[in-house]
Amino acid sequence: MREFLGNLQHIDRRWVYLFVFVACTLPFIVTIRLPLYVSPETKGVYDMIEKCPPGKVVVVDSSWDAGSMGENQGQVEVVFDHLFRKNIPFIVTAQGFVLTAPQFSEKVIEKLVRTKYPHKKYGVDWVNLGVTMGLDWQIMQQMAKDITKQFPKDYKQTPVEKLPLMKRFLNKDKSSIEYIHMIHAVTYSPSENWLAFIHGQYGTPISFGCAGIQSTTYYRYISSKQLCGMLVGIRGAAEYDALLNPKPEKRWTLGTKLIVPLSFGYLIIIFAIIVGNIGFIASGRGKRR
Amino acid sequence: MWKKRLIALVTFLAGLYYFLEFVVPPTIPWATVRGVVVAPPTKEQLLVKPFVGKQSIRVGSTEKITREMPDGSVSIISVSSVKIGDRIKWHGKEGKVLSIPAQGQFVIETYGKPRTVKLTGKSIIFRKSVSGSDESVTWDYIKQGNEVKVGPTTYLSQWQTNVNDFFVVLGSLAWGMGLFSLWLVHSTAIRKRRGEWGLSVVFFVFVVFGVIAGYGFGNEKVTWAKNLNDLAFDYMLVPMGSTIFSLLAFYMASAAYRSFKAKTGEAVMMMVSAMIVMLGQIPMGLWITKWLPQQAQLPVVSQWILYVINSAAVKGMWFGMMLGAIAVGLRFWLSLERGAYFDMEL
Repeated sequence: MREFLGNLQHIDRRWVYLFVFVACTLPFIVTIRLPLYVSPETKGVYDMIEKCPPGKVVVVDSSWDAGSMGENQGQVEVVFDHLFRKNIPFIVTAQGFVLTAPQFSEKVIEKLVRTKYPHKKYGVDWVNLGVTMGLDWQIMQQMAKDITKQFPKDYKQTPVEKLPLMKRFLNKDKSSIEYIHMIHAVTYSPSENWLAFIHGQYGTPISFGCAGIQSTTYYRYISSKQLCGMLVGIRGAAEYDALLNPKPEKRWTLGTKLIVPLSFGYLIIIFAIIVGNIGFIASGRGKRR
Repeated sequence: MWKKRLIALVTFLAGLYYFLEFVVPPTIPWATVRGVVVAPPTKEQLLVKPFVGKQSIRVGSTEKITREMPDGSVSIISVSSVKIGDRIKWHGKEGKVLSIPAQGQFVIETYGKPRTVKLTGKSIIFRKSVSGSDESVTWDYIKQGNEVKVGPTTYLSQWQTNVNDFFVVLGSLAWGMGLFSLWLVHSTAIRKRRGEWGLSVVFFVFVVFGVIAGYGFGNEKVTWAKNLNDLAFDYMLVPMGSTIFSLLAFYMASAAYRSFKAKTGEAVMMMVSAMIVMLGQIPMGLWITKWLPQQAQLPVVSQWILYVINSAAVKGMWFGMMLGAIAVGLRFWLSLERGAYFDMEL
């Protein structure tokens, strides 16, 4: 028996791979619904969008691409859905060497418009200003001062003067940031410079959408109220979807679709750790140390 | 040797610039005027009512006060609504609130006689925004009623954009060099028929394909270029990128199985907290512990670990890392770094 247990720490890794594969695939075949706990960081983003006063816009900095699509796509889907539902106009931007980011965000919006909000018009209800490069804090400062100078054209190369939503930003009496209710930065690991150069200087609320593994470094900013909220990986998207659609059968985003496979994957990891440790202890190596 | 000295000199000058830019104010302090614009500005001058002295005023708790916003708008507010930094008017007395020692008592910075500030190419104008921060703007952004700070430049902050642009240019050069290097490696592999030279051909084919497909990006009409772009994006880039990253799930599970062992007390603690956090992140955690009181349910315990223990650890780590970064930064700046690359002859 002891020998059998000891051998549990030498299971061929291909078995582990097979278990992960089956665990992550099964929920796509069998429909499984699980209860969701909505965390305060997700509620923070939702509440801040709810508070958006008339006449203001929300900026969604959607700087993600295929690499973090699994986690970030669901996060922008729910936020765009919420903004459309509340008739809050929004601006999509991207920065850094993620040249395909505007395509990813635009695909999400196009799908929403096609399936749920056919009356929404590009240039009036939302604009996608494409991707810009440079030092991120300089971009942020310029966006706050005059967003039309940082993004003179949208991703289709249309000058911003021709986009009705952007006309308010051409008024020189006010800085662009005064028209912006909040900034939701979504990428694998959002820049902390948003907090220093936008929230610190202008007090504009900032929320993040990030990969689960990156989230641990950002929790401290929620405690200090520098971040108004955060969508953490797939879980954040699924929780937000639950806030938007209290009835489970109405939930539709990528976050909701992936939360069950993710749960099964996590269970396999936990199971593997326990099995590995049973073997480790049974083989006596735990005691000798 | 001269190359190393040149690198050391350039590094020192760049560091010195950023240090001075940080400590030296953007305008010459004794020639800077701070106040409120009282007439429509022109390209040549601003008429400013400067802040000059201090005065203490006492206002009855039921009285109303006129507040001027930094953008020039005016509102009537109650005494209790006045905040530090507000520009207020009350019975012919006006100024900016510096402190509020007691309810209804305000120490204000009063205005002097309006004065004309000449604008030259060397002038910098800072406009106070509604949120209270100073923004550098040109004269045409200013309107009557704005709170401004105008003065001759100390140049350092003005050059910041150019200095930062230099880094962007350097970054772009690195991309160019990367492309050039790839072209060099793969073209040489094809020319000399090195092993797997076929993959180098594939590289060039896809570079050309990517460039052509890129013409379809943002097209509203369905054209051959748009179809090509969609093909590259939807059926190649997205699935391949996601596949590569999803491999991580398999490796992580395997690595956790093989190396996460209860070898020490610390390892056990880490393992237990990791399991709580993992279970707390997924619906299973709530499902398993739904019968417990709310404070003992796994998602709540997991949140406590993340918000309290994790945040404290991260703050400590970052504090240490930043101290280390300052030390390493100083060593780089003063060219004191030794070992590896730094001891090489160039």
